[in-house]
Amino acid sequence: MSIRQYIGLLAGLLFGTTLCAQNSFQSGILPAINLNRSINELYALNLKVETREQFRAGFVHTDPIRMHEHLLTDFTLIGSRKVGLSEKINLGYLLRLRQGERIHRIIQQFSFISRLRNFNLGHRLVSDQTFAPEEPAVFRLRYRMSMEFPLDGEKADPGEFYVKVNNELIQTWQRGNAPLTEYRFGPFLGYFMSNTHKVEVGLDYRNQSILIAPTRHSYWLSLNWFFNL
Amino acid sequence: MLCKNLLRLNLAIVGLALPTLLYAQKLEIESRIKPEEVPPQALTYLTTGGVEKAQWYFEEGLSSTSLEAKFKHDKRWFSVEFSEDGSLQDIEVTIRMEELNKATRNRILEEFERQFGRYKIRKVQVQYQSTSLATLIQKKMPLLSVPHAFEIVVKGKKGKLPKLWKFTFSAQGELLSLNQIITRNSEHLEY
Repeated sequence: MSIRQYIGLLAGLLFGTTLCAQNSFQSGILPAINLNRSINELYALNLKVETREQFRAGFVHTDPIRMHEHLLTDFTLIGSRKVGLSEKINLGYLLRLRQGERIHRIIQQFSFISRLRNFNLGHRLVSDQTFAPEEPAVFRLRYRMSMEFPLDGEKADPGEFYVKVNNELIQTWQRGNAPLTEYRFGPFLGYFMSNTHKVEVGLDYRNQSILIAPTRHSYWLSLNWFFNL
Repeated sequence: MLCKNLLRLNLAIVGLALPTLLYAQKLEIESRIKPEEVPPQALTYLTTGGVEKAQWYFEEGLSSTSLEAKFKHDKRWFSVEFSEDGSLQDIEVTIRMEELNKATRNRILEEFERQFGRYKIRKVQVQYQSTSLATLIQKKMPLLSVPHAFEIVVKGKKGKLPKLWKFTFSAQGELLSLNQIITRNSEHLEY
């Protein structure tokens, strides 16, 4: 296979579904508050509250519907245990309030950070199980690699900016539906306010199904606030 | 009797203070600066040594501040540290553990084994305080025939979890200092 054919195949896999007229899209904002509390040297808690506010939605190549709609609010509580220098095992629970219904998710996560000379690489491997009323359970396996580049010096210090780029693949299984492979990409600009506060703003792009059409493209303006209690 | 009690008190104070002197926590804030912000004396020192291009950093520790020039020469990272007025403090060059002489290396490894059950060497640097950059650039590294010390970063387990430690050893492998390196929270890469 020539390089040109290989690039064509890769582009087809990633963007092929965008050519389909059935594809839909949505956009809006995704504000999140992330509270972290160390219990002791080994254990810590993470509470995340995130809401999803949609402002535009529709089908590709058609006029979008411009209307504000509150889609959902997520409350996630994760307990983590350090098992190495940066390695952590996490167990968590998510409660999703979506249009009057309650959705429950159980989360198992393993994460570690590679600190390299000029940047940091965060790796996150997650499996989760989601239970919604009158729907078969959803099982997912996700891997995310986050790159953090300091914009000043070899590492980001208080009072300095950094760039973070998330790349994530999510494989979803649900009885009665074809397995879906979702891709997420998120470039962020972060500001390290102090040892306890970080803020980030960026794009959270999600392609719900990169292999099977039709898909849904989501473009969220993501606003994150990380706070260490 | 009074003398004996005073002696005991002194020994107790030294005994309490010694581990603190040998084992401390190290937290440095480092920011990139432009060559224009560097004192001319430090810039001249580098160019005299034959170095035209370097990355400059301002380092703020718990008790001191310094300037640091970092560059790569002959596949090795050099780090030249100056005080704020531009006078040279030391020069550090990355080397491999195998480049140390056998006796020194064994003594250092024995120290690591004494400190930790399991450990992994992350970074080894040779540190010069009285040899000029111009000499070091011209000679084949590591230059171990001039006064030097070693700075070694090790991942080792003391207590429940492994941590990063910065050791300083004399040229003969005698332990001079030990600092724990504090890494920053990285929840933004985990959640």
